[in-house]
Amino acid sequence: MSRLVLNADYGAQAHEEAGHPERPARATAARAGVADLHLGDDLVVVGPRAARREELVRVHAAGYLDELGAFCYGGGGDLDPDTYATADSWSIAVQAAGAGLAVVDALAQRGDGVGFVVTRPPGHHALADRAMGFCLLNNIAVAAAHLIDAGERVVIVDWDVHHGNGTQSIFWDEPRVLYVSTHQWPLYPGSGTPAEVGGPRALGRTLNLPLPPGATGDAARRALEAAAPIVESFEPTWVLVSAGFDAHRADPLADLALTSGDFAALASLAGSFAPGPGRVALFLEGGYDLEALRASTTASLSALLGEPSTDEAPTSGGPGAEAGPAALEQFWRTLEVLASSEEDAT
Amino acid sequence: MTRSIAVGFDGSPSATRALRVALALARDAGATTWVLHARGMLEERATESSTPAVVSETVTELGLDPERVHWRVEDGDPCSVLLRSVAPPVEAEILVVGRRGHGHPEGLLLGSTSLQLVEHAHVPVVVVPSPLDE
Repeated sequence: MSRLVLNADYGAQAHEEAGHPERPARATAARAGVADLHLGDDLVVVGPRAARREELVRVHAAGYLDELGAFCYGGGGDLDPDTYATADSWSIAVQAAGAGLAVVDALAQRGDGVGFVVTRPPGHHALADRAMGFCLLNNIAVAAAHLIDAGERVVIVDWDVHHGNGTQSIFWDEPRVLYVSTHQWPLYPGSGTPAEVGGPRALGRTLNLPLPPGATGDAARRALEAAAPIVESFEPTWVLVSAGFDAHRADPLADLALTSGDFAALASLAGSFAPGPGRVALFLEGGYDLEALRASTTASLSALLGEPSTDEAPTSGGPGAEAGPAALEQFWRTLEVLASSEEDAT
Repeated sequence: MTRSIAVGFDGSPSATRALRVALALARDAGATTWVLHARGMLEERATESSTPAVVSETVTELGLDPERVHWRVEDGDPCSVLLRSVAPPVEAEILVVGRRGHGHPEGLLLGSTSLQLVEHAHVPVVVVPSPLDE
């Protein structure tokens, strides 16, 4: 059995705003989901560390980092209608980004295990120069940039119910990162159509697989299965997962209808993209129903660890069963159009 | 000739001031106005699809043709929604946004839709100050 390499303890309790769904109890629920695995000595906890400035500026504008830090130290406040920061949020966000770095470094050193990073605040909406969607720093992007700087090729699988616009934007023109997202559409943040395929240097390195409201697990699984040939031809050396659990049917912020059993299936699929052991890490993104978050954490990690679990049954029969293949068709058509317009230009 | 003007609107006093400026600009230019509401993560997904009363009243007050003023709810943060409005169907050629007197230090992009918009937009941006800025 593989070991679980976990970083979940960096004092994120102080990042809290009364009544906001992105709350400290989420991390507690995710940790409880890990505890439910009863891993004993097979649980390896790596210590917290802060991401260094040179690690953050790979994906964030230096001026943004300065302003965010100053804003937090000045007491914080609301950054947009969704996103808050407290006086402690800067140091917590830097620890969250560092937690991802610590986990991938530990996996690389061990050459074995599955990583799980209980990141709060979450990260996949954070742009290079802007906080949004509850996110301050883009934790998974910081880790991916760290890996590609070391010569790796990274596929980011984002199954959060919201499109990870920040991650997509940061790696829009980066050929060493393949970004694959299943998400509800339409929904915040409004991006994530199949026609968004990457920048001129990275055409085809962004793959969006939007699902309609009410879609069940079969639609999400089918979409990710449809993406598999593209991932395989990319030949990733690492798999990082933006593991939001807000596509669960109990989640209050969205309308997909997945269960913990569906997340187990998605995790298995994502794990199958890895070239070998010690090359998969899950980063917590959304998920605002605490029981669903706990159960989905357990189910996803169980699937990756090859452990038995008592998940809710996988779901099927909702709308959007063909959404993934249809998105893939649009993805290829867009690439053809871009290629022919490029030929016309030359 | 300007054909399409987009204004961000969240119902706040600063947004209402921006709305008045956008509508006046559109009237003078003979342009269509798109009043855009950015629906955030925390907002009810059933946000009203009909035009808010304050928008209709301002349209009437300024003597505009209601057929040339469109209300539209878009998922996203206010800055991104306005930036995306340069694409179809809105195809905005001017973006109008209110600026709140929130007391942030000068030059701080954080939390300021207007400053972020000016930083990133590829079309002219009109920033309508709040009384605290005047």
